[in-house]
Amino acid sequence: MKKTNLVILSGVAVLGMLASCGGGGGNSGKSGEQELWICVYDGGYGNKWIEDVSKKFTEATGIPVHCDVDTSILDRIESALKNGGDYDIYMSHGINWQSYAASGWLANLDDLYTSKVEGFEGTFADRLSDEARSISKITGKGDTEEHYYKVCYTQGAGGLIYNMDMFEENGWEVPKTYDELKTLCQTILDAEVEVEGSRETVVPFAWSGKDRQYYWDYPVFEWWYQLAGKEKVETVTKYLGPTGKYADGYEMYNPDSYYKEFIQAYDMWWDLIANNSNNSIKSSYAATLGSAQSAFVNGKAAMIPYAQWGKYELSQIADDETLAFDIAMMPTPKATATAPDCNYMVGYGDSMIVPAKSSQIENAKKFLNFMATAEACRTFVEDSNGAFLAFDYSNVDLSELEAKDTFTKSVHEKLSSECFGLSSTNPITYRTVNCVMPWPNNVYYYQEACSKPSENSGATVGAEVYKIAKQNWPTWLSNSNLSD
Amino acid sequence: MTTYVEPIIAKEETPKKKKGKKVSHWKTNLFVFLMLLYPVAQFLIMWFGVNINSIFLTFKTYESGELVWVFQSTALQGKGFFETLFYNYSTLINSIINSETTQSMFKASLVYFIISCLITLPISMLFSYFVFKKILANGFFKVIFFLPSILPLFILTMVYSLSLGPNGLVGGFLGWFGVDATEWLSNIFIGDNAKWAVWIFCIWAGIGYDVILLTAGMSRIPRDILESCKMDGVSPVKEFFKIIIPLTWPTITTLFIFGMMSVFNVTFQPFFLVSGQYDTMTIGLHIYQASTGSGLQEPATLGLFCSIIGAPIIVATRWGMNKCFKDVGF
Repeated sequence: MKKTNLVILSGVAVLGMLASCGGGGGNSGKSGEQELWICVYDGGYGNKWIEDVSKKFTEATGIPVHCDVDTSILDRIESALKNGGDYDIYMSHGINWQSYAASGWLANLDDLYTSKVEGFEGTFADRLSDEARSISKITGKGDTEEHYYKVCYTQGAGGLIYNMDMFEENGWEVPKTYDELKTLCQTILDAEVEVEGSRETVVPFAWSGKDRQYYWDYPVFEWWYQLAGKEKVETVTKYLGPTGKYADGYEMYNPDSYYKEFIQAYDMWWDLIANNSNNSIKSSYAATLGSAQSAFVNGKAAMIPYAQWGKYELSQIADDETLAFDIAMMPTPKATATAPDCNYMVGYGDSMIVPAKSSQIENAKKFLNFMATAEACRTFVEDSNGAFLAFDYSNVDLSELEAKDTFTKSVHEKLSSECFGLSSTNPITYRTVNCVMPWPNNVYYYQEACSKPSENSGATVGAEVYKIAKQNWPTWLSNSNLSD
Repeated sequence: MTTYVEPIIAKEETPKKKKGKKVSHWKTNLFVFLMLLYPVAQFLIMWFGVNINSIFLTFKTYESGELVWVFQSTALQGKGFFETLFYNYSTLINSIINSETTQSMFKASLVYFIISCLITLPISMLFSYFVFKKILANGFFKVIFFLPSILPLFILTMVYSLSLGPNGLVGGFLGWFGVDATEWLSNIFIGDNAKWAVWIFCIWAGIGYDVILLTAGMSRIPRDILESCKMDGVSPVKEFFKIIIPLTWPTITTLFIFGMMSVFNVTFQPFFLVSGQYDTMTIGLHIYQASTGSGLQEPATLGLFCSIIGAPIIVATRWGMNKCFKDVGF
């Protein structure tokens, strides 16, 4: 009897272990059920917005929605798309959707783009900008022409967030140009404004070199765009050589020609921050994000480089999760007095996708369509404290929100300027992850430049960037199976 | 009484035993089958399957959205047979020859041989001996050594980087003595210092693991051997080199081999501490990061290339080390 039990138990244990090795298969289990499962990357927008939008969607359609906010989507998304996972919609940054579409793992969303959106005259496609539409199409597996396989998730604004109350109390004007910004920094330092409850005086910037040095990209990219112009930036981000071929695409990083203005923009930053350590809180370049946030929230710095999720994240560490002062995102001070106002679309490469293996593709499309409605767009802005979905907000009434929230208003205004993204359709950019991008090999210099300013000026960094690109280009090209 | 009972029991038990044997034989086979099913399946799927798939990947390339055999690639048409077959390998070798980034990655990885085998292991051997000899406060040292081994790597790297950060524990401690080390601490994870920071972390975190295995190995040494050494007046140094090391040689060999493998295995330490920047990118971290893209043939080729180079060296080292102290035993 004991042996029989042992055998049965062993069998159950073995089967259990084998079963645990199986794939997710959550979808197959609930096929036929009218329930939508959504997975959203936990990226600074909180989870309230997706819960509220889901609730409203359920009220409107009767389709129940289960949503998870998660930071580990990207670790398992490929496997989930390939083998069938638990979710019907994924929303995140960094989704390698071009590759997934080419592998046949994503649902074709063409009919979503031609569907009507409640409360609007046009179609879903009309609710997106030309650029958002163009970067959502690709020739997928078995396709003979391009089709829509994703929807842009957010449209962002990045740049300098400032303490409005502090500016007002001290009579500091929001700078309109780079030169005015440099003057303002000196004014702030000269003012020696005491920090409440501390012997320290206010400095211009708090920032985190350890965790978020790339936040400096936001003003730097805009200066680059202003100096180089739209056409040149678009040429560079195609990463094709001067002859229009892949083979010498590394020339786009040449600091004497194509990348000249990028390095100029970096040099502007270098002169402002790296070469003027007094403009930042001591050791900002080694500080964690928490330290930088805390310094800004506690009034030790007047400005902090951030993006549209800034208010949400900064509020999280404040007492009662409420900032003691008003904040706003200033239009990035222009590189030159005559340059146009512009906005680098932070997070424009973020995506919302529907797995081809989802059993709820049509309902998933309905949900994405619902997200384009004015109600959902407004809910997102309100719940995320000033972030915007990638849809057109010109017909969405935000007046009530903007009347009580200076940050939302400032982000909205920034989004109304000339917007640009740096997403590339060049296959090298998504077949070799983190290689071909504004900073090749994903190597940033902001932190090191502050540690050793003289060794990281524009000239040095420009030469280094070009060298990295030139040396590695043949490998990147081969790994992408591209010849000339 | 006894002589009467025994034959009856024997008579009654004989047929029962026969029946029982048949049943238990069947049950035993089933039991053995079920017990073997999982490890065999595990081996076939997780080892054989994965490795075969990785080897196949090195002969594939990315085209029209999917990985195809190199001979099916239109981009490679017109090239010679071997040039096409070993396309991924030639790409890798060209990269090793021409790219400073790739060369730096190999150099950064090879350093871990020195760190693991020539620094961490000898230090661990010494500390293990101290713990084994029950020197003063050995319990405290045990905790100090073992703690890094039981904490998840992410937590450990976080503790390490926060402690050494400009406002961390070390800065605060030095501040008590009036030393302002903020600037020095600010630069610990930046530039050329970053490598040192990662290496020191690896030594600190690696000692605990080695000490656990070495103390376990030392604890198996018979006490009478050590007592006779004591009676003969053998010094601790002599005891360590002439008795302890030879008798724990199999453990030392295992740890040395593990140390050699760290050249390919160190992955997340530089990632969590410095994001793989400042020339700290290792082979393991590169394979991990490249695997998140669609061009899987590149990390697969690099992995196989390293295995082809590394496996014979490791096997030869093991063979050589096993030759040492062959006649020593207890």
